Amino acid sequence: MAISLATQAATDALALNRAPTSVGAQEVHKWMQDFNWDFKNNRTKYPTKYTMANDTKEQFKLIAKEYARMESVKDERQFGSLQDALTRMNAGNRVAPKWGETMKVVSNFLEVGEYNAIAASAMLWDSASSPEQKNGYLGQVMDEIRHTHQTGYVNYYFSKYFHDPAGHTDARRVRTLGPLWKGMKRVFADGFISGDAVECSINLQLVGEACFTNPLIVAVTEWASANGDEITPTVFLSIETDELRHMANGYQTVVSIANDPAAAKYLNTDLNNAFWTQQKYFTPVLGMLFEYGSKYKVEPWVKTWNRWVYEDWGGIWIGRLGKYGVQSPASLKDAKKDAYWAHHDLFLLAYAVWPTGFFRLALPSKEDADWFEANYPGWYDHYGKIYEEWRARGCEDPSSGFIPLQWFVENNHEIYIDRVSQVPFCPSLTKGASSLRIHEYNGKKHAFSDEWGERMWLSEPERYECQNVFEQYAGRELSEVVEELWGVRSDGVTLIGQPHVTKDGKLWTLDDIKRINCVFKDPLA
Amino acid sequence: MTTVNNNAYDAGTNSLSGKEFADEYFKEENQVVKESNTVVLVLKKSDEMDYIVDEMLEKIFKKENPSLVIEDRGGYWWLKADGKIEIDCEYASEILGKPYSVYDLLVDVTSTVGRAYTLGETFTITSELMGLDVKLQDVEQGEGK
Amino acid sequence: MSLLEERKRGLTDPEMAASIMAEIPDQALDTQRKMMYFLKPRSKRLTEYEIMTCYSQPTPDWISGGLDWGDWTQKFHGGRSSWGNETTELLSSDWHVHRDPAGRWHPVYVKAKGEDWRVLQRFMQTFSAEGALRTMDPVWRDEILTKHLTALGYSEYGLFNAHSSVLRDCTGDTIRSTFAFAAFDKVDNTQMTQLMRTFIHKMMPGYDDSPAIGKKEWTEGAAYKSARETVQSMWQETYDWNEVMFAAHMIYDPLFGQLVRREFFQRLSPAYGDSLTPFVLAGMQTYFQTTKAAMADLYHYCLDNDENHGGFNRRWMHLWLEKWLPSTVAAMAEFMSVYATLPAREGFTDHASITASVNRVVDDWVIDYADKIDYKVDKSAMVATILAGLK
Repeated sequence: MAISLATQAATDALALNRAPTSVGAQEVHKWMQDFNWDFKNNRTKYPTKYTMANDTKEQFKLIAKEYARMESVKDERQFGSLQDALTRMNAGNRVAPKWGETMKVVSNFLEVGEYNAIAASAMLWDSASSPEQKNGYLGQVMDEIRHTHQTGYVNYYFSKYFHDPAGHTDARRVRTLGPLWKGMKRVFADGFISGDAVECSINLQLVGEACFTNPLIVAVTEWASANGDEITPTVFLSIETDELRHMANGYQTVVSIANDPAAAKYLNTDLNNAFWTQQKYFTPVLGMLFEYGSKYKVEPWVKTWNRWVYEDWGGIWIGRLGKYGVQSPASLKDAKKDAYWAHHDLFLLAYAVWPTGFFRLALPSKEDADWFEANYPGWYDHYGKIYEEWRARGCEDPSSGFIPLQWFVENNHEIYIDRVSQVPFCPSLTKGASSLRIHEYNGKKHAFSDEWGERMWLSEPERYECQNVFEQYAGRELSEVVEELWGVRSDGVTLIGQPHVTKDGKLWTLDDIKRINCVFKDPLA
Repeated sequence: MTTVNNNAYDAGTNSLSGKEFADEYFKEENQVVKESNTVVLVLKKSDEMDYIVDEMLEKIFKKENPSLVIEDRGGYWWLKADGKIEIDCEYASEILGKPYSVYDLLVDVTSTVGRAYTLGETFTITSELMGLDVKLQDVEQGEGK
Repeated sequence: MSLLEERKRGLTDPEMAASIMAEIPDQALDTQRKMMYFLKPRSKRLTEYEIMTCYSQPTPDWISGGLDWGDWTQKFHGGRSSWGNETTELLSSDWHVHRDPAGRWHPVYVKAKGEDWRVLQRFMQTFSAEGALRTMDPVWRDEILTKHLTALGYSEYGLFNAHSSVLRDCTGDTIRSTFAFAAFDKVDNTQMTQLMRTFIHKMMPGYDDSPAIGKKEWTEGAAYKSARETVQSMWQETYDWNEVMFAAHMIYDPLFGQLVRREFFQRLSPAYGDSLTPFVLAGMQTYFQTTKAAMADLYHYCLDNDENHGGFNRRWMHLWLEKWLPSTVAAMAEFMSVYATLPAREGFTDHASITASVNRVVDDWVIDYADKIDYKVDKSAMVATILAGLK
């Protein structure tokens, strides 16, 4: 026992400072790096081809208790607004109907991304060796739980107050029905958690969060606000206050491998793959939801994309890292083409299969059409005319016996689903960057819409084996599938999905669909 | 909307519309990313944040960094500047007349494009590559409550 | 704000608001307004915790309880699943039935911990102003806290890290949040051990608050050899996520953790004039009790009682006990050597007091853990093995 040390300390104690004091979060945080220790078998359970440095720092220096305090202040504000002022104003029902429908998808699909990001951040926490970096990822694990609950809360709130609660109440059960679901899982779920840990970090943090959450979670609030929805800004802007730490995590992941020779070999390919993977779904789906799912338009989606994705993310993140060998993604040109056209392509298909949705869709109004043509010259000749034809055939009215999917069949416009991204596309109608390629492997055919996904599949086909909706339901009649996958309202007969949001329009039932006798067909069979 | 300031929300290509926008957007030279020395900050509107934006950033910080642009985007303030944006929370605390730590500020800092970090009671977002070109620091004893 | 133009909002701009309202039907389009109405509540009615958490995990129906269909859309290199039944030996009829008895979803959890932090900061202000450190025994302060409180921090840090792969791999949503909160508490505990020592340093600048000495004790000291190896093994050698959690929360923490936190630091601090440690440790014990209840729900209520797989699961839990109990008991026996370094205090450091301590921990564990799954333990032999470590 070192008596001299104790004695010395006891002497000091006599001159103890009695000024009131406490300890700040950063004073504790500065010791975090010392809490690691080395031992045999201290290696991650999720291998990566990169080597992450031991000394990587965390940019926000939070400890658990300060994190909790900060987050609870956020919650006080968010729940305070929702439960008090916004409820008193009946704000949950003063939302443009189209937008209230859009939020069924936005909130629930984002929830899936957030949920999977819990697991993704946990994997990175396991992979990182620097304690500060682990601490940053842990904070993210907690944030992603928060966001899962917050996005769930948006659906919960709208369930209680919005005039069409169906789809908000049961999104977690009915969402698997539509052709947008599997693509969402690729980009938001499996793409974050299944692969090389650093590759997943690039997908989740460097691209998904640093790039696409800005349009998804920030810009969306401007659209919401224009369309009467103050619920979404209240929650989503609070969600995004955590994202800046995640962007920092993604950046620090790159910092931690910057000097690793493996980065020179693999980073640009991984970045390009991640960029394409994320944009392939986000770009058309967000553009579609914003522009076709709103009454009041804020700005053309392509401008939102050009600002947040190309100029700011591209310039401030990727461009600045140029001196460390990071290159402009090779797929950028195709992505830009998609940002201009792919959401228009997708809406044609989404509307055509509206009975598989858990939300109501609406054809563009005359006012919408003028806006589209002004901002996307050439829109009317390619898309606008088709919508006019569908409308004239009574696609909104259950007595018409017409759903636009029939039009595709009549006109030999085959719809395929890309094996890698799981995004549907119609090669004969597309104006985005998609074009058809088909490969056969182990006796099974696979369709692809672009060279980037095709390349990923060609090098690792075992990673992309998921059957798509057409294969899963091949030979099954549409109303049967809708019923089986809970696509009906509480009366047991009316569909949740509808092809209009008009106040007095008739709602379609299972019988209306059954009469059409629409049968799922696999175009590759 | 045509704007003069390069950092405005609708600057550059986005100031154009219709066919002119498409022509510029699809130009071959615009098919690769271009390095930018700017930073973007998104601040959620709130009682405190509105005051900080008005009293500190617009009235004071902008003199230091005239490239700063602040725009209203409905639920949030969107800011863009060359180099960096900094917020001193000790000063914020003074003008707000209540304790206001850097972590209270983070309650309403919605998004960042650039390297953001805290040191003591200061929040910084910079175009510098923190951790690569510039080392991230820890607080000295007694700082960072 | 006066300086910038305000944008129009659909809720407040009269024209936009009127136009929106004109589109809204007079009657709701559906009468069912209860989110997650198809979910079976644990109690009479659905709680917000259940509504927010349940079925947020998008697993296919071939993982019990999943609502999705088909395969994963992207897999690991080589084709391993995103999530799969093969990640654990235990079986469940439905991975979504677990409920945290405390009903914690994120806001509930952070509110409580944020409150703990505010209370702790006020406490520190008072403690320092009172000069309460003056009553603390110098050897306790400079030797015991420096070495062993820090070593406890390392043990908690290792346990914390044992949760990372678990949070990646586990197959349920309520399970995932239970594990995440347990993990967060563990790193919080580590940080609190450091905070206490930095606090002492701030009141008494001569006190070295670096964790270096404690780290050496943890990584090289004989008192922590088995503890360290057990924690390391959970952290990086064990792949079954249920095994990791069972070892951590059903064996190691209620035995070794309770011995060190409750019986050593909590019980002994007053004998050395230390009123700081019990205050901070009380927070850790609250977390322990909350976690304990949640883990009991998962391993006892859900998995041991599973209608189809209960017996099978119990056999696995017994096997895991066979594997992890001996090293935990060894860790406790080795920790006994620390008692010999304490300045003697009657009623605290004598053999009878220490024996009582060990008995309390073992008794609690047998009743609350082993008996619940009918695992037979020779209590007196276990106590004797531990006490054999007393020097």
